[in-house]
Order: sequence, then structure tokens, then C-alpha cells
Amino acid sequence: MSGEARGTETLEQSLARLEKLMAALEEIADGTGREAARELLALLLDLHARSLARLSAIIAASDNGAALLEKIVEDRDLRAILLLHGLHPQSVENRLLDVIARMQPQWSARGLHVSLVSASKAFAMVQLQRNGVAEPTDQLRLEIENALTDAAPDLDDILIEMDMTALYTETAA
Amino acid sequence: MERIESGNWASRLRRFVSATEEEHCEFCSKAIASRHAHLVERATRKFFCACPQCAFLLGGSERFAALRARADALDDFNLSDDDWQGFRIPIDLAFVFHSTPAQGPVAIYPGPAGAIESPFAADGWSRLIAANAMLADLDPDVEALLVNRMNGAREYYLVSIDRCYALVGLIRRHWRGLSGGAEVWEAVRDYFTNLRDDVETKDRVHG
Repeated sequence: MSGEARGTETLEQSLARLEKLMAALEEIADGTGREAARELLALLLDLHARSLARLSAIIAASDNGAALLEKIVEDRDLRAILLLHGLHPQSVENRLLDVIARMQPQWSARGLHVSLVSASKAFAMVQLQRNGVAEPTDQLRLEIENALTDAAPDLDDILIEMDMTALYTETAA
Repeated sequence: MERIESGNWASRLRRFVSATEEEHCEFCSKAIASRHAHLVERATRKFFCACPQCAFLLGGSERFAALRARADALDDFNLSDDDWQGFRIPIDLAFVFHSTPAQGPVAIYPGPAGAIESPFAADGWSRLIAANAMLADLDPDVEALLVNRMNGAREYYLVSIDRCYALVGLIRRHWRGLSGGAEVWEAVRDYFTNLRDDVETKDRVHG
């Protein structure tokens, strides 16, 4: 890919390409080459992580630092990089609570109540409850899962528990 | 807000670059071998990597249980179809274990949006143990009875709980629509094929 094309690539395209390249690297039979590439990537990330951590600390300590950081994370590209390095000013828990609070009215109206059960550094658990009689669509479930993952792409997994017992009984009957 | 359609990309990238980095005990921070012990916090069901010393000191405590890899097939398991119906688990795939925080048996089974958890009738569990003595030595919080009665199968296993969560995760990743779709059941078939392979390999090693 030419330098010019790289410059106009969207975040999505970059991440999709990143994914492909990681998969391709895993396929390389030459173990030395594979590990060298992995180490190179780790080192580069590490260099950026260190500088960005210091940059964030300087911003946070300055006048209106908190407000500035909030503005910074509104930018998608910057938010993505801060999330990657664990430097997002909001905790995983708050990010998930925020997105749930923002989306709850819409989700609720369409049949699902969402609540955060627990959130740790690697893993969050969310519970879905049917709200009223309407059967939640797959589309809605997917939408919820996507919204949560977007808010916390740094989690290994978000386990979504749902009380579907009633639904099963209905479909079985 | 436009979304980034790459799921948990940040987590995956981090794990990718740290794949060969040294791992550390999450209790004392000492570097540990790539094959190491795991402890499960009973209340949260969180997994922690542990060095041998911490695993020994903390495993089996009130707060933590040590996870031991286990995959045993139960060939002479005693469970009639009527008894199974009586447990009121809506699908033919479930795991049941004794939960210390819940103070009783708990069933977890896969569903459209992930794991569904429900208390398992205590008298039903006692009947199961009475009919199947091997269930009595299941380690609370970390070992489970895995039941697969799908498509006429009558398979029962004693497995460590990590395998159960792996199954739940796999189902969540592949589930489409209300009934799951062909892809998810193919993934489940592969899971059981692997499980049977592991059971057989282990049996060969230990005679």
C-alpha cells in the first residue's frame, strides 16, 4: 500500500488491515522471523505507550486538564489509541455505564433492559432482561453487544447473560 | 457516533504482542512458566494466573479455588429422560456445578445472548449424586457436570469449569437467530470432538 493510500485510510480500514496482518504473521512458518516481527511491534507499542502515558499525565495535571482529556477522547482516532494503551480517562466500568445510560431508553422501548453486573480489567458481565411482552430481535441483541464492545474494545470479553427461559418455553410449546 | 467494526480489537492486539512475553503471578508478580496454575475467585468466578507457591497457599481457601484441568467421560451415567425433563433446562446442553456463593447447585446453559444461569433444584442434584456416586467428589466452583443430550446424544463428562466457559463463549460467538443456526451447532460438535480426543489421550497416558 502506498503512503498516500495509508494517509486516507479510515480507522476501520486500518484495524481491518491490522487484523489481517496479525493473522498472516501467525501463519509464518519461520519462528524466528515471526517472533522478531512480534517483538518489533511490541517495542513500538511500548515506546508509544510510555510517551502517551506521560503526555496524558501532563494534560491531566494542567489547568482544565480533565476537560481537555474529555475533548480528546471525543476524537475517534485518539480515543482508539488511548484505549489501546489503557489511557482512556474513564474506567471500563464508567464507559459501559455511560453507554448503557445513553442507549437504555431506546433499548427499553424495544424490549430489553440492560444492566451491568460486573466489570474488571479483562472482562465484564452484563445482564439482559426482557422488558414487557415484545420479543427482542436478534438485531437488537447484536446492537447491544456492539455498543458495549465499542465502548470497551480493551476487554477480552463481555459476557452477556439473558433470562430467556420464558422465551424458550414459548418456542417449545 | 460511528462505530469501529472490529470488536475487541484493542484487547486482541495487546494479547497478540504479548503472546511470548513472560507471564507473571497475579498474586506475587513473580515470573511464571507459560504452563502455570490458575485460581478461580469463588464469588466473582474470575480466573487468576498463579505461581506454584501462591496456588498452593491460596487454592482451596474460602476465597479462591485451584483449577485443575479435568476431562473425564462418564460412560455409565444414570439419568433417565424423565428425570432430565424434570430439571426444566430448556435445551439439551448444560453444565451443572456446586456454587459456594449460591450455596447450592447451579445450571448454566447456552442461549441466544450468552450464558443463562439458573439455580438447579437441590433435591434433583441430590438424586443425581445418589444415582451417580462420582458426582460427590466434584470440586465446588471449579468442576462441573457437562451434559450433552443434543440430537439423541447421551454424553456426560466431568470437566474443569474453564472448559464450560469456553463452550459458552464459543456458542455466543457463533449463535445466529433464535435457534442458533447451523454454524453454532457445527462449532459445538467440534468442541465435543476435541473434548473426546482429550479424554482419550489422557486415558492412554494414564493407562
